[in-house]
Amino acid sequence: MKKTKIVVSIHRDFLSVVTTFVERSSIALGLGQDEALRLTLASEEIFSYLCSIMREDKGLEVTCTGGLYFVAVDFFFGRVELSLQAFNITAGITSDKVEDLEDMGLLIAARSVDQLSLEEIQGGGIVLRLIKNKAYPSPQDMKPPETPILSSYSIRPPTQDEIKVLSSLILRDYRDHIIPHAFRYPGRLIDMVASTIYKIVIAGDDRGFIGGGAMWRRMNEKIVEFYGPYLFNQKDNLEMAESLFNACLEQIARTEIMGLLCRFTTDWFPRALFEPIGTAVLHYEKTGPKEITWYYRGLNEDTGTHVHVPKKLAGYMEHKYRELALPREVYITDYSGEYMGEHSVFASDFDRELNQVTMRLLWPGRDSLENIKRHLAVFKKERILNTFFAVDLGVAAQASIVESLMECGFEPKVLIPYGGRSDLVICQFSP
Amino acid sequence: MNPLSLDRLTPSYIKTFEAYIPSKPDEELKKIFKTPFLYRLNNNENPIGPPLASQEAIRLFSPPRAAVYPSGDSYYLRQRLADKFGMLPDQFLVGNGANEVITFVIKAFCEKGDNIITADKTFAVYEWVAIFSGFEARLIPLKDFGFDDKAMLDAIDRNTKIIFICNPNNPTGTYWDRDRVIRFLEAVDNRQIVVMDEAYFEFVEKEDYPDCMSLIPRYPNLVVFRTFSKMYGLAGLRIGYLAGNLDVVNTIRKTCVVYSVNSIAQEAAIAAMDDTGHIQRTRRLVAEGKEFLRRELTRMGLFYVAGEGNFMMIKLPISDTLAYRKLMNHGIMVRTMTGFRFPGFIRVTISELPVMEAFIHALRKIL
Repeated sequence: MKKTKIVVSIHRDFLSVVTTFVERSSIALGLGQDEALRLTLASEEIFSYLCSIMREDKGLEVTCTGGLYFVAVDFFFGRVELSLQAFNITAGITSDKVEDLEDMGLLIAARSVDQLSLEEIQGGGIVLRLIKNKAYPSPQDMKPPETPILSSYSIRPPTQDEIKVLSSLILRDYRDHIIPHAFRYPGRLIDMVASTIYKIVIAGDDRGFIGGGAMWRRMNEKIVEFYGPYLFNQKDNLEMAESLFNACLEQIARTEIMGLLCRFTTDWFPRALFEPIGTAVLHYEKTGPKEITWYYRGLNEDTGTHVHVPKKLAGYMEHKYRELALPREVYITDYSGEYMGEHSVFASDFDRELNQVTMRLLWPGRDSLENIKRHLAVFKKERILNTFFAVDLGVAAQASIVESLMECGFEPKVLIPYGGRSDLVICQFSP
Repeated sequence: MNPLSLDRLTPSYIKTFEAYIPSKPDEELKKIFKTPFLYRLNNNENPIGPPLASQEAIRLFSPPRAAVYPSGDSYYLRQRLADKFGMLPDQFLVGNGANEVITFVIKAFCEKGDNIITADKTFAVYEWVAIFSGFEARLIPLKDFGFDDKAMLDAIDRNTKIIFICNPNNPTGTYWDRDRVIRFLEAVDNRQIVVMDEAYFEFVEKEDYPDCMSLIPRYPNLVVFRTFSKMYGLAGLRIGYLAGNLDVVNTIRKTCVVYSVNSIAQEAAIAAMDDTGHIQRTRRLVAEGKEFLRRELTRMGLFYVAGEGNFMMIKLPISDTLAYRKLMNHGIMVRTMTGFRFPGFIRVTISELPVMEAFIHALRKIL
């Protein structure tokens, strides 16, 4: 991937340096004028905000990285430079002052981009990342050919032209399904495949007809998310569906990937070969609420790990571990009055496409209850319909947040084995 | 002091390679899965154990001798192998299990840009060693659960150095007969090294199954692997060997780590070769166990692949990794086949009838 970098002092005098750098870099890295402007505006908000909270003699590293389908702007900070509290998306407001939201730099930035995330980096420090996707033209009125029932076919990666056909077939035949945004834009899908974000296999014949397809992408270092299989006019060709699914498994089976997750299934999804790990209700403006069962499949022989289970979740976890036959050494843990800093810090990862935000605990603090409430108020104002909090049972300190989460209306919904450092519990806010 | 620059030091093919994590010790697994017993049906071990003569050799090993290095090149074992197969001792190389001799061969013949050819669904170590040594592994899909000779020949190019064939194949148990092996060797025509891995040789009773040792004089590019881990029950001592044309073996010898095979393993292996009754007893046990499993699995309506060797592959209506966890709760350890690229299958080692009955009982409970 192509990259540009500057290091600037954190001072308002350098605001134009940062904005010019981001704008010029974004265009050079492939964004259109409109997207480049939005990313620049977001960067301007971030830098202005940093100038208001950080010491000016500190250098700030800003990088722009261009993928085929996006540009990312990273702001790198050392751990010691400021109170992390400032990186809560709600920093500076209280839950009863939601009208102040318009002044929130981080929030304005989040609105202008497709993803805003905050990550701790190895060796210390924090990276705040803005991602803006390239704009792709909507698919033309492409009418894919009617696929005959394929008597013989091979499972293989598609060509670029076949990806376009696949995209149009999915749009035609899976209109009522929840599908990733990228599938709706053939050009974007092609670029994401070329960037190895998505992997695709199709069931195609010698005449060029596509009978089915399946996609998958990494969710994190250990989990891959699977989409499909999508069949087109193949009736009950379960063998084709299974072959598409097996092609995915065969490619990831001898890697570090530990599990396969599927949230958006089709009629051909091989449920029997997966384990249901929970159900969440997802809200969409167009379709209303939909109950979505999450499915998981381990890829390795699970010989156990240890987990720190908060007392409030003990019953849920005991049930899930028994149901899924997962060998776990469970340490029941709870806050025992030990010293805790004043301010908690959450990372809020926005996914505008799915109209959802997923929070994670970066730093525990005594204000966690108030902090959750502030975040919920912000998300309500932002009309975010799906709010999740991911609790990593591999990190004992994360247990401290659970009581506050449940008090605010979150409920444990899904358990993803090895979804974090250890198992990950996805809690959903149910107002 | 500079910080360690691991990123700069590590080759890209190591960065992307995932270490194999072996299973935990049985006692730990029993605790984790809360089972008072554990039947190991995951590694194709011989439940009878080593031949009696080997057991006696192990017992007779004097503990003070542990202070003395073993024979660095398994001198007496190679003499014994030479006598048995009518070859020269120097036509054999003994390693710390067959895994080690795989490494010897790849290191001896491959350099940057080279590739090896094998199947996609076979013993994984050929592929792993090639990849973590920086070489391409060309994986040819199995055809009808067997190695596809034509596709393997088509995949050969000028950078292909070694072709690995697992005969019979682990985990499918399929094999190439003598005519097919000869046709393949003729087609390769000495352009590549052809490795016939015969780890399960002693289990096969079919008349058309080839003894590739006998083909070595005719095909100098042929290298044969055998092991004492499976039929001879010496898996815990780690000892296997390769045989081939003298010039080929002398080349491989340059990459051979000497002193890697311990004294007890060498002496137990020598003793094992004299015990013919052990093979007959084991074959009877495997035949009985397979017959029982075939009958029971058919009754349960489960598809299975039962070829040669002391194992069977079974297709389950649930995820193999879920089946593993549930069977472990019943004290049964099988091998999941997702890692072998057979998702949904498990591989089961054939053991004594009571153990096979316990396996079927547990399988019925979890399905």
